[in-house]
Amino acid sequence: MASRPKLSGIQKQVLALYRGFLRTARLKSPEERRRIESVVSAEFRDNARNVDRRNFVYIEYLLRRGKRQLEQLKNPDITGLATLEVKK
Amino acid sequence: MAAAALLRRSPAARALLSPALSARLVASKPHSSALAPPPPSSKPAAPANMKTFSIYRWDPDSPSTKPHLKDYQVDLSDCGPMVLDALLKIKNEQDPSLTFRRSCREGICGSCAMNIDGDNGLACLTKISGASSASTVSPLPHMFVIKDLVVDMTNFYSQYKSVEPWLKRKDPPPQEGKEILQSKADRAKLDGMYECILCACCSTSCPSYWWNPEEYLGPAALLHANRLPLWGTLIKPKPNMFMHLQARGYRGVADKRNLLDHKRRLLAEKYELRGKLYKAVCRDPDLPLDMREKFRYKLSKLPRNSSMTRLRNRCIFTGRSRAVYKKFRMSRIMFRTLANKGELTGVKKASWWIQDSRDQFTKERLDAINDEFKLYRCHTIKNCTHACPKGLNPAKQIDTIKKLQIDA
Repeated sequence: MASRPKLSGIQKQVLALYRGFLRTARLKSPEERRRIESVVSAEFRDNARNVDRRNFVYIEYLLRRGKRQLEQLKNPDITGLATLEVKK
Repeated sequence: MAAAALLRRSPAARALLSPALSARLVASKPHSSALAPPPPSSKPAAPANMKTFSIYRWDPDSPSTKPHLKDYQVDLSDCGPMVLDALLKIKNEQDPSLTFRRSCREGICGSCAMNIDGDNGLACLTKISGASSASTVSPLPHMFVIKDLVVDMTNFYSQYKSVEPWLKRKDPPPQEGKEILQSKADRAKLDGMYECILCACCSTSCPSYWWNPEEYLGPAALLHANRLPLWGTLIKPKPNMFMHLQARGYRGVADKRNLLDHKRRLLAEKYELRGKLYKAVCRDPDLPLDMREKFRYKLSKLPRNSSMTRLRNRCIFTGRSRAVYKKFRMSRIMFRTLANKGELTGVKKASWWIQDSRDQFTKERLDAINDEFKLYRCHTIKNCTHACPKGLNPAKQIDTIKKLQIDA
């Protein structure tokens, strides 16, 4: 078995947030679920690549933002998520 | 025809006539609608009064930049007096990316709360201090920053929500479909609490709140908690308590002293007229002395217990002769006992939502915040009172809650 790297607290939080999103997506309708999963995983992967792992301030900011979005998504009245592309 | 003649006058003549005419008109009838002398074309340019503002900036969209203070120069002679005016001027003219919350610009919405020169306050109510020194504008301390001067208020709002800031009652309102009435005195108790605009200046100025923002409720939420419950109001009168107790003939009070006093009262009533008459005759200096003497004798023959001076207002329950209040017809001890039980209509311990006379959930509200963290993290640091832009005193309200907890 490959030795798993020891995850830091903040890494655990990020993974927990990701898990939370996936679990919440399960509760929505199937095509919404796919859309949520693709949006969320794309965002997480992007940030994982672009954000410097030592930039705690920014990572914590993203975590807080993500948690708030997750709270909103958990609400049963919310049916899905959508994204907008803003061209600078 | 004269009008026609006027019209036909030659242009030259008209030209000659008009200035003279107008001059005469101006001279003879200074009219308020006449053109005022034109205002000076431009005020002598007010000396540019530049002030430096150091504003906290952080952009989440460019994650690599750290939060920093950026300097902006503002000409105070061309700017309104409040810090908000300066911020808007900067945003409009110099840097549109400066982000901050604001709405009413008059100190009533509480959106523009921020830290100006070390003190929390509303930007729309804080005057710009003189141009001599630079001002530092930063977001509310110890709050998570979303962008520039905008902070995350969700924790603050959820604490406010946890206090259940609405009226709760156990029984329906006395008149169905109508408002629950409240005396003026009770409504006056709410002054100093209802004006709170939830700007968060007080909570974010409290060091105790900085160190325990999740557990300690903070001055704002506690102020609103104090606003609601009221100690034991709306006590339902117990029907049997006073029914048998009339001014006379109270039965059921098996106390010898009360019975004797009652006997005296009956006698006093019986002999009242007679006694007063005899006394009047005795004291009348115009009557002959022998007559007065006779009545003096008659007066002395009246039974002793018919004298008014022998009456004593005793406590109707215990017969105590001292410390009896006429209004309640009982002594202080019984008064206290019954009032605390809630058996005296309309008598309650003074208190504030805890204080609102219409709310009936005092005890539950007090219990809800009575744990080590929610209320008792307050160590009366009093930064909140200093910071409040509306001049309220959250520390005082917290103090009253603590006192109530002792009594509860």
